[in-house]
Amino acid sequence: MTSDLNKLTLAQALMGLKDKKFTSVDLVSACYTQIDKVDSKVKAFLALPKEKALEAAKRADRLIADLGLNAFDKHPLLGVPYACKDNFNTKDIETTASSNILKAYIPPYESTVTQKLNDAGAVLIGKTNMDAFAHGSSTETSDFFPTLNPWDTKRVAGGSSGGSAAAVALDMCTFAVGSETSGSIRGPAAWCGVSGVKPTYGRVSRFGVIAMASSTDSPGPIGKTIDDCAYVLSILAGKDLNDATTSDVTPEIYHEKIQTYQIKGKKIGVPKSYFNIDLETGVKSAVMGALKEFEKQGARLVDIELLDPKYSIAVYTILQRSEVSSNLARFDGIRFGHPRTAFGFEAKKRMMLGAYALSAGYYDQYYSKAQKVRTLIVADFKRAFDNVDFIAGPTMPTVALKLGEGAKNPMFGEMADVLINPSSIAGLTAVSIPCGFSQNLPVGLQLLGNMFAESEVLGASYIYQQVTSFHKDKPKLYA
Amino acid sequence: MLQYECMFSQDEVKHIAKLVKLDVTDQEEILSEMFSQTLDYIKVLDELQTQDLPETYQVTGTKNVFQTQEHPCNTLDQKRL
Repeated sequence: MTSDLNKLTLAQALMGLKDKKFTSVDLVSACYTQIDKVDSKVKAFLALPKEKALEAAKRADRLIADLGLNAFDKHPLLGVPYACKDNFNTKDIETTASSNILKAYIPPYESTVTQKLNDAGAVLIGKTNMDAFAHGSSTETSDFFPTLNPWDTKRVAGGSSGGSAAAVALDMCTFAVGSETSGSIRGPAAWCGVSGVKPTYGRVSRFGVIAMASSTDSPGPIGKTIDDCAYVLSILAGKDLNDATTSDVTPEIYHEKIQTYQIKGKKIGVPKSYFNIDLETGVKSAVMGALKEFEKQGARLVDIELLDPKYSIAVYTILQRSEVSSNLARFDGIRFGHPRTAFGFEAKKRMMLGAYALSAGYYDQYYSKAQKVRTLIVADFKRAFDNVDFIAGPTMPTVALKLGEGAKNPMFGEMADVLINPSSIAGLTAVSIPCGFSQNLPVGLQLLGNMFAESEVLGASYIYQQVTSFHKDKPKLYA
Repeated sequence: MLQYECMFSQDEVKHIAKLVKLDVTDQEEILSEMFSQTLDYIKVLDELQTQDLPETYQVTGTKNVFQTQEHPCNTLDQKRL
């Protein structure tokens, strides 16, 4: 069994490695073969540290040969290849956040997320393309090239973690990590037909992630199945002394917890305001179909009222721009990176509007007002979660858009992420899982959970994937 | 150019660009239009009463997180930068 190893899920790959059916070198090589075969069609990858990856795979194989199954006690992801969004600092491997200003930047330190994955024995095979500095929802604003949709290369992959989602969809890696400020995991996961988890804010460390909006940035996994994502999240979650905003709440062993999750009697909130917007018909019917499936499994659908998501678009726009203006102020090209003239148009636009919203005379009107409305949004969800276990809706209002459609609107990202913004502003956890097709393109179902209720949304998603097969459908691109 | 209720002039664009040390030569017009459009949208927040509400700057409720002696925050040697 050495062909098509790249197609294995994380659970299957681990089982094969433990049973010595193949080696980590076989797995990693299969991923690189697939990258050689299909990446030129979608352009998901930036740096490909092949030599380093093969060395790490060899080390993993030696550990398995020496220690057998015991090797997996200390290194639960031993030998499994993963791809990582390019805004995670990876020591001695070029990290650019897909920006010209950081082109050729070699970080002297490792992000907590990649450190944890590497310690767990996972093998980094490549850094993935993204909207530059994560400023976008399409991966078109990468300063290098756009990442195309694996299901239709005339369309975008979604963003900003578009490279990670496309890499998983085309089996160029076993799993990937992305980061989400508002939609950057859920959005591309939905448009590429894969599973993605946006953890609660503070659940996964931001240390070593090139910052976008520090009060909402949440790193998380993108995988072929939700139990793969749960497995990775179990490794990533937890307090980090290098990130003071990580939470003291004890993380759970998510992949074990979901195995015994009971959906019978759970109440699923269906917010009217999330279905009253301009939804694509095919998206709506796919999501309604998923809700029916949950009902069939014993859950109860409850109509709920939530604030109109149009307010969240405005709040997110102000907060994101403001935090970006502060975070990108540090790029001066003195100790690292290139001069500020290397910033792309999108980054300039966001920094400037943020500086404006924070400036004397406008602070109360914009920044302070937005933070007050954020209080309303947090309270709104709190009220909702008093009555329901989780909330369901479409991830994106449409399927993947054609290239170039977003450039016309200065708030394109916020508009595309309309159904995601409210939960990001409130710091909630959420998943996006494939739930059908519209125009032959994948549709994502979004499940929102309360803060630190990862087990709830992961458990429900796991049950859904046990009785459906949308997550197993693959793009025709490499068939 | 379309007319917006909130006009963000090209002079303001130049002023803000100076504040954040960015060169926007030849992009003043498009930025002024985009900012006007965005600020116009943001006015939607005026529909909500927020006078007596506190701001939410962070959502986890953690506060006064200090470094410990066992884990000093200078994780990186300056020379390595």
